[in-house]
Amino acid sequence: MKRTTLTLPLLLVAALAAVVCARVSGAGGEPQRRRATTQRRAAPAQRPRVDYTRFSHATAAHRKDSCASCHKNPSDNWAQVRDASSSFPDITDYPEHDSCLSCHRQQFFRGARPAICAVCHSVVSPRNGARFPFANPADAFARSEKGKAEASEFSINFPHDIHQDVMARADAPDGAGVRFVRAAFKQETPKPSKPNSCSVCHVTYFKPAPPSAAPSPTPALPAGLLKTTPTGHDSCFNCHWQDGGEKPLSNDCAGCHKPLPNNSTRPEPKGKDADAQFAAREGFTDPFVVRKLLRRDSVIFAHDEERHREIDCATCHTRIPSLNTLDETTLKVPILSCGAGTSCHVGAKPKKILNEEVDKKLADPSFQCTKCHFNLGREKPPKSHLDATGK
Amino acid sequence: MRAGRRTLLLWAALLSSTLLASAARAQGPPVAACQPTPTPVVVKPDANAAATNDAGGIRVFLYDAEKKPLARKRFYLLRRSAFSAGLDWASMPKRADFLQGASPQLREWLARHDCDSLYCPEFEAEFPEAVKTVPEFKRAYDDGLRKYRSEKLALKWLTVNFPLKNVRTEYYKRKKAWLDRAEQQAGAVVSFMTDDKGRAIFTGFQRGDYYISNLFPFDEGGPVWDCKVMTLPPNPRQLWAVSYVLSNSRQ
Ligand code: HEC
Ligand code: HEC
Ligand code: HEC
Ligand code: HEC
Ligand code: HEC
Ligand code: HEC
Repeated sequence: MKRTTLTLPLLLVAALAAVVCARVSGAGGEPQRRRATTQRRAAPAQRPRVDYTRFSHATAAHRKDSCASCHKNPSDNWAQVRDASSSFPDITDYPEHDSCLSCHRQQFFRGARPAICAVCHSVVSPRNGARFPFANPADAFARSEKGKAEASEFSINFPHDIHQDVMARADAPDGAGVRFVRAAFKQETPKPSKPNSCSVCHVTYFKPAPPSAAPSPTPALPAGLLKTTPTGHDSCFNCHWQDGGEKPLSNDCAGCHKPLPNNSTRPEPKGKDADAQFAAREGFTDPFVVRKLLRRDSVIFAHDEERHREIDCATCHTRIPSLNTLDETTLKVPILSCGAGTSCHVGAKPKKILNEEVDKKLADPSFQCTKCHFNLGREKPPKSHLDATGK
Repeated sequence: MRAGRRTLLLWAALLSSTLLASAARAQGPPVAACQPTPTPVVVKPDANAAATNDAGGIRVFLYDAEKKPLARKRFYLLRRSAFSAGLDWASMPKRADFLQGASPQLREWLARHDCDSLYCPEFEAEFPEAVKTVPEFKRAYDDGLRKYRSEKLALKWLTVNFPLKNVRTEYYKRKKAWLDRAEQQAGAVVSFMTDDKGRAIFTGFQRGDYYISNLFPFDEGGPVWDCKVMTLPPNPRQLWAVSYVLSNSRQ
């Protein structure tokens, strides 16, 4: 559509490319920051040369406008990016040229291959509109080169308490008081066991069978280790859609996407109980799942274990009303849920595994706790473990 | 749990809320009593720990008068008794007040369920039927179909196009606003949800006196519990298990 308006000047500029040699830094906006996951370059002493191939939301001029002034919702291609059964109006493409041109006319028409095009385009040409995959849908993006190299500048604000209450039934007949709305998600595991509630947004993740039948070099982790979390708008826009839904409306991106502090990007978890090599060795390839795995304190814990499956989510996840996706510490599962009271793994008489391991560790610091941990089992038992066992 | 160790049973105490009956409550919801049966879970007699200002922990089991667990219910751990915090009971919203403009079919349909908002998940299963029989849902569906040109989306996003916003969430929103205020007045430390067996654990809070209450009746005309929990264990790091039978005051 915009080709007519753009192609002509571009060709003109290309012809006059030789003339354009002076690099006027800073023109058309503030310096742009890299948003690559790697460390940021130290600030140069002099005015930095602007890298127009990198876009950053932290740039002051970009912060002035509303999110929707650049991001069009829905994108023109929303119906093409997902198959018909799962598609819905969504933001599935880059902002269009208009949103840049009012400030970046100069960068757009500089040289035969203006640097700025590379923010969105894989091929820089006045005739070719080929673009990198956009960050949404997240699955495809995460697998792309660009997706692997870059991290989001935002974190998601999803208040569990509000959603839990708004969907609560006043008097749950069967203990199924809390539920979340149905959301299509990668791997649906029909599980007739408990009437479950939270499973609408969180399902058990089973990693795909390895391509070869080669036996794993390490004893395999139990299957059904992790629970998924939403990776896109399908779990939100059925209530927050702009023409009549609940606030924040879908075009109020910032209602859900909160800029990370200090212009940083979402940190790639370094790994606590397991590291990236561990994840690879165990055959976890889905980047979202790997991220979850690396965030864990207890990598061995399997949701799908026979007895765990029978326990209510709220028994272990004791703080659902105060879960805050913006604060990781609220996502912790306290060690006490592993047994105090129901005494599965914590208890002095008969001696349960936590007490046993803590005793061994205190007697012999080189002892490694392996029941629930991989790497962390080598460290000193934390205060939470000592408290729970009365040490 | 070992015998010979200090018994901790007495440290969690009951303050029967019937004592709180007072004129101030006149137009408020019925108060219900609590019957605690404490059982210590992890016992850690540690003389010097008593001096530390460590955070404490408590585990509660909550049952109704029929001894059925109060499963997946929202409660609050409060600094003050709910009934002496001066809550404005008269301004508690009532569901019926948010039905202005609703068709008789919609009223009838909502009455069959007991939900705070239209987002009750069990509604979803009934939407395909509701768009045929309830005029408001039919309108929302037709609107959606016109906008999204997909029957599936028109159904999935039905509530987006639902014409009566009042009915959709207004009751929930007013209730939340009331609860936010009440939480503040009663000094809520944390809000928690029981699990399917009526259990909940709290950890990491200052020791002292607390109250447990639902603040807002679970169903219209239902009771508000006001249970005093005293957590003064010799070792504040102790975890307690306390069962509360929450009587039903209406009987
Ligand atoms: C000046 C135009 C502009 C404004 C204003 C803007 N964006 Fe963006 N946004 C972009 C561009 C361009 C990209 C693609 C960047 C890339 O792929 O390198 C993008 C990408 C994104 C992404 C995916 C990449 C990531 O970091 O996760 C999200 C999410 C996003 N924007 C959210 C927002 C939100 C929220 C706001 C408002 C606070 C906002 N945007 C305001 C231009 C803008
Ligand atoms: C912020 C992202 C962004 C930047 C930067 C950008 N484009 Fe695009 N471009 C798009 C999007 C989105 C489309 C498709 C939407 C449309 O057709 O308007 C597109 C379409 C195109 C097309 C195809 C037009 C058509 O009608 O098929 C060409 C050619 C193109 N861009 C060239 C460029 C060049 C050259 C530059 C650099 C001077 C540039 N673009 C910079 C996002 C961008
Ligand atoms: C027996 C205890 C237990 C039960 C029951 C349980 N979880 Fe978990 N959950 C955990 C533990 C332990 C972790 C890992 C926490 C860590 O190591 O940081 C976890 C992690 C998670 C995560 C983060 C992703 C991951 O797997 O690490 C999600 C989401 C989750 N649980 C959802 C649920 C849902 C939904 C249910 C109910 C269907 C549920 N859990 C039931 C103990 C439990
Ligand atoms: C079943 C409907 C429904 C779904 C699905 C849903 N929400 Fe909400 N959400 C609501 C309602 C209702 C409110 C309260 C609106 C109000 O109080 O004005 C809300 C409020 C919010 C708020 C504002 C919280 C505040 O403090 O005011 C955020 C942020 C939010 N939702 C994010 C999300 C995200 C992210 C998703 C998807 C993962 C999502 N919601 C899915 C119904 C829903
Ligand atoms: C109601 C809440 C909500 C609103 C409003 C919303 N998003 Fe999102 N968005 C989410 C959630 C939840 C995810 C997936 C979870 C995640 O990324 O951790 C997501 C994912 C994305 C992604 C892909 C993954 C990523 O984080 O980079 C992009 C891009 C994106 N949103 C852009 C936007 C833009 C642009 C807008 C405004 C036009 C917008 N969103 C409005 C909740 C919302
Ligand atoms: C029954 C399972 C289980 C056993 C056994 C167990 N842990 Fe843990 N561990 C957890 C859980 C759950 C957490 C996270 C929650 C917490 O700390 O309360 C955790 C957290 C940790 C942490 C991280 C604490 C932090 O705050 O980052 C370390 C270190 C650790 N454990 C070491 C050990 C050692 C050493 C042993 C053996 C003496 C051990 N664990 C035995 C389940 C276990």
